[in-house]
Amino acid sequence: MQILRLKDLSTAQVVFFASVVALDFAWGLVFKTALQLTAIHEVARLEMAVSVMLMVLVRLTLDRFGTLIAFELAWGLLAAVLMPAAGGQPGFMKLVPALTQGVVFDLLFSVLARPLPLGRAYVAILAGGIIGPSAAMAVRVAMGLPWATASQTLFGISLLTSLAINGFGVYLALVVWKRIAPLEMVALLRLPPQPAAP
Amino acid sequence: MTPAAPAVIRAENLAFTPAGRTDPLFSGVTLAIRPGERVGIVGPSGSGKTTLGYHLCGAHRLALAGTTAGALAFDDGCGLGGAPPGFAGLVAQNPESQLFCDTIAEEVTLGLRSRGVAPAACEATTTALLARYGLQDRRDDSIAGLSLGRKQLVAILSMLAIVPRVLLLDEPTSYLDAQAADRLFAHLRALCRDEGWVALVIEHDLRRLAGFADRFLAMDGGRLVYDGPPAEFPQRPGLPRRRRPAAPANDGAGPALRLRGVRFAYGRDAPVLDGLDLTLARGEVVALGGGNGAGKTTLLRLIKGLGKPAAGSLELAPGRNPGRDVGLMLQNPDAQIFAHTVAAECGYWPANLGLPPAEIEARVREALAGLGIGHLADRSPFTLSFGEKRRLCLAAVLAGAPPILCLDEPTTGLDDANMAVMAEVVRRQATSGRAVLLATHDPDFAACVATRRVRLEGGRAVEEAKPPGGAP
Amino acid sequence: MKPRLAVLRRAAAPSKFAFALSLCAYAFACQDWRVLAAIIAILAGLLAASGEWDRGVWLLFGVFAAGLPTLLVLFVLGGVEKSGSWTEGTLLGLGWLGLFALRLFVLVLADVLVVKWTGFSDMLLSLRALGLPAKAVLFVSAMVGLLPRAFALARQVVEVQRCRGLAPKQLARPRHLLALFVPVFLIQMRRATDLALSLELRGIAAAAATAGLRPPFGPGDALFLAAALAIWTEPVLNLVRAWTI
Repeated sequence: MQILRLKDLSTAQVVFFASVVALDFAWGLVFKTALQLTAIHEVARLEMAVSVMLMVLVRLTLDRFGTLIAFELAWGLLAAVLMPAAGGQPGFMKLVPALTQGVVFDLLFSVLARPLPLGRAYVAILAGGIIGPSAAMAVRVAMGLPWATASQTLFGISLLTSLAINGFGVYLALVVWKRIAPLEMVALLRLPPQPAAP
Repeated sequence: MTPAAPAVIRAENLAFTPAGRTDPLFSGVTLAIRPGERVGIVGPSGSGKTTLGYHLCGAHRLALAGTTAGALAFDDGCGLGGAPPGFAGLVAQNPESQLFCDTIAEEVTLGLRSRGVAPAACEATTTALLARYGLQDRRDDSIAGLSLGRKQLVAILSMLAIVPRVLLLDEPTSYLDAQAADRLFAHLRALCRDEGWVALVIEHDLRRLAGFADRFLAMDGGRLVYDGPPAEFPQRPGLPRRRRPAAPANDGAGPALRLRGVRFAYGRDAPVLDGLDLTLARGEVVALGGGNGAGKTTLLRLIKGLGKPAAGSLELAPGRNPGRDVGLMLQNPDAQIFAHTVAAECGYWPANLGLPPAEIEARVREALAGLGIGHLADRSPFTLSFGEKRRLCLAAVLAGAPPILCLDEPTTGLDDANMAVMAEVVRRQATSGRAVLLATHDPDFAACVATRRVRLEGGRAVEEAKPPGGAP
Repeated sequence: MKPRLAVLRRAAAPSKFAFALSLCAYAFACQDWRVLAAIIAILAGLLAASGEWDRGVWLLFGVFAAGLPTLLVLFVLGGVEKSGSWTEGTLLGLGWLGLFALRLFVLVLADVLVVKWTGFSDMLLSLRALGLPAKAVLFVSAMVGLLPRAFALARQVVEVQRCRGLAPKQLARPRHLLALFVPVFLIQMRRATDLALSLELRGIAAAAATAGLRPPFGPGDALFLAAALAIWTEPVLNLVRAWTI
């Protein structure tokens, strides 16, 4: 498994990575907060389409285990600092679903790199898109939310919409990747594949 | 320049092949540059000027993906892996992407602080630089609120502050007004003469560059085709010197656009436009001039309906609306290109206007052909050169067939060939009855296309006096 | 002017984070609403006393209030399901909601307190003191520094595409979403490479890690760490009693 190491990253890659996290966060700051003021956010996290696009593109560019864990960690810390009450998870608890999601994303992206070079994005994001919100629900239940029929129904609906929205995000990300992958700028930022173990 | 001084930069059969390509972008470059030289790197778009410039200042490993072949040395040390730290400074074309700090003073000081220079010395250097360029009263201004020209100046100052041995400036006058550009070149001339700096300037404005550089390196088709004094450089024809286009006859139809007493400010800042009056007739081409921050882009945005004047009136001809009838081309083509083909990119606005597919296709074909890029219709727009992208952006506006055309610095970063195409297209639009308002720093372009020239000063429009006899 | 509660505010970021994390963990463990309410009162009092209770803090309560109707429905229905009757179930659900809300406020206020009392440069110094490599510090600086520019960039692209007829309500359609996303992403990518080049040439992104600057351990740090441990006194004592019985 090819693991992300700080020393392998150029300054350009570090700044690019930071800029994409900033972009995702800026998007979320506006739309997540706005959507949370409606009841829509409980059943459909619409803003996730763009977040998924950004995560898939950054993972395809810096194709290493650890990229999305670092992404989610950075995002979670920013969210805890700058929008502590938004997004359903209060304060530093945002890190729990974020990191859980990141681990699942990275694991599946890395494990399926050879058999499904592009299709792995669907598998990783859809699986992570179920496990992450499940972790988030677990946190809310630990805080005292009753695990009753109403909560289960709402959770089930949000998982289904999450699958649809995340799948849409992956589709768009792959459309974008097809357009930009040949660019020299992308070549400058892509991590070359590590040599296979003998 | 001290002829006997050893070369600071030496290249032998230097070549560069970008990643994903088999043919080199440039090859066979052999040269030596000595301390104190002022070198202009010239050539048409896509000729390899910027890539060569990056190699000559040792930034190629940081900024480019590809393979460099041949020999490259800095102060006789091998330079293929890059230049030693502190050797070079570089200011790229887009100033917005090179600035990191919140305020002007912080940005200029950043490089000095990172090297551990004492605070007092940092402050002295920064103050001297800001004073030289008239920015000392704006040292605590937020960079985010600066015009592009001021941002470019701040980016340049931040590199001057670190006192590099070699300084590469890529199109430094794209956004600077004439006064700031003159000041910059005078300063660089002194630094090269007195401190032995090497200045490498990539520039399309050959006349201005010839006034500064003592040596031209001309690239064409990936080869170094000229290396010598500017005076002996075979000049291309440049923009045709034409008689000033005649103003359109008054057909009694009323102006296409009338602004009366327009006042506009960003937030609580001082007004950018303050009681501006301007009228634009069908068939007219009005060139809008003025220094950095004068309000040219702001005016174009207001006409397009992207903002509302705080006072005054802005009227289009009866029955017109800005969304449909005003076409606005902004400065940065990268801010709009997204589609999978050139044709799809060009057809975005007509599609949003709800036109039928057949008409969209016809308009796209006509617009692309008119700009000389019809053969690129099926290509990915991301692979176009900068000049081609600018043409595509104009085509994308023309495809909407707006009666009023607003162009923001349409010639920025363009070589003479592309500029000539732009000029021809603008004249054709006016001849076909469109009203054109273009903001431009380029007096040659304005002279070539404009029926009238207006200057923004103190938030108002001041007509420039017409030279006698219709001369440019 | 000296900031209020200067002793506490001058504490190093790691001590404050440790305090906040300890509080967060405790909020989950604590079942007594009176203890949670007391913690909230103390945190709110500290925030107000330090002069940091501003409009942003009220906005947090606003965001919570906006989500209240949905939570109310979930809790009441959950209570009814457990108890079998509407009256009892509603009261039960409201009780649960109260405890949930108290826990949420503890988490949010702990977070806000740490953030308001920790300057960005303090945080970076703390990261360096923890031995974090220069690239990681650059990552954090770039992320925070590029955040406002991300807003500006998105606004710029929205404006450009509006000139070409993009309307906000069309964003759900792929073609229009891509019209915003692709230029923003590519410009951000280009900016990252240009910025990195500019920083490298100015010596910012040094390969060598800077020497760790250990912040001094002051009275504020001691107070925070003591508080972080003190809140666990009762649970630990209860645990010990349970073991010994």
